[in-house]
Amino acid sequence: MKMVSAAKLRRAQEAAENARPYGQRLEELLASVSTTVGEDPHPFLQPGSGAPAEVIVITSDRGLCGGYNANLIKKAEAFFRADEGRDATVVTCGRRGDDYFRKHREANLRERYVNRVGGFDLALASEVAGKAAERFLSGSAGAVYLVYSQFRSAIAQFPVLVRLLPVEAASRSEADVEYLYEPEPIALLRSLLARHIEAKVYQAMLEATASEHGARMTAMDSAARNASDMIDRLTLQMNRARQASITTELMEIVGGAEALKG
Amino acid sequence: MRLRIVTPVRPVVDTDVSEVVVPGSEGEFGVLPLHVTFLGGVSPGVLTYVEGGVRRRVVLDGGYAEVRGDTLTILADAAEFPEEIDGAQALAGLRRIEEALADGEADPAQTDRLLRGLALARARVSVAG
Repeated sequence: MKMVSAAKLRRAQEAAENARPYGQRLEELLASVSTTVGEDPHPFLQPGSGAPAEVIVITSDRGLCGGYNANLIKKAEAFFRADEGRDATVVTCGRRGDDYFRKHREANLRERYVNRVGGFDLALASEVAGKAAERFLSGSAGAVYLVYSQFRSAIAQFPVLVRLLPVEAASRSEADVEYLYEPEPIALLRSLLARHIEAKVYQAMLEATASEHGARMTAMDSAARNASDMIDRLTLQMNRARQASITTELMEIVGGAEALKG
Repeated sequence: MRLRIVTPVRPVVDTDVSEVVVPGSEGEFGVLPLHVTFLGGVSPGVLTYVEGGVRRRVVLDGGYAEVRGDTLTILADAAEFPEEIDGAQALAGLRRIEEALADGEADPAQTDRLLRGLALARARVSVAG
């Protein structure tokens, strides 16, 4: 089980790392375009309608991965208790989180993506992102947050909460670079923003997948170690018991023989 | 001049080139060294670049192009080299889209998607052997 997770982890980690440059470059482009457009910003860049927020919680479909899902749920719950998270609605990606929120916050559950064959992919990411963006635009969600696990290494994954909408466009420090735009900056901004949201959800899903396999590998490793410790202890105990019974028998035989001689 | 092609799945190209032709959303455009700082859309189509005197082609599925300093960065939704494309499969894909369009039953949003797919399918067929 540890070996299986290790192999899957390697692939997932590669996918997450390969996707990072795209997201970074997109963010840079977005920063320069939004500084150029300046006035008349896109609705995605403006504060929401004041309606309750929406949280997309990305967990795993399967268990046996230590505290991975519990930590994510804890992170989401902490948000619900905070001010901005009051009456927030939930979108669950992954069965583990879905099971929990169905039991504890059914009234707030908005949408569920569970047991998707083949795990998370670009199509699913754009579906999740697209629907969330629609709700933000229509005003039924005041803001959209993502809860997922950031992958650091096989033994270090951190649950994080990031805001997806409204988009926080970092203004580029060297904004004085004059671009030649084609098409108009405002049209570019519109499509860049949509793409940015998708890319962000996709990246979160990849990080989550890598984290899940990392967590499972660590959990399975310590499970295997615990089992072998247990075997050692039990073997020792068994040998002692056997030795004790042999000794008792010997004593009885010797005692019997002595008595006969007498 | 540096050419970088990045997709959400992986970085595809990162190499020194002398000339690039990009299928821009407002029409094809060429990029040579010392090009002005530029930011624009990319349509589904074929991008060609010259690397060490050799002309190579990549099929792009839309995205963005940025020229900044001496680097051209293409952020594409997907990118494929001709040798990765199966000619028969590409042709079948094109036929499917053409038939769907000929049906005329698609709603406007669907038609948009189909037209986009058509451009990509044509590009794939044109570079596949």
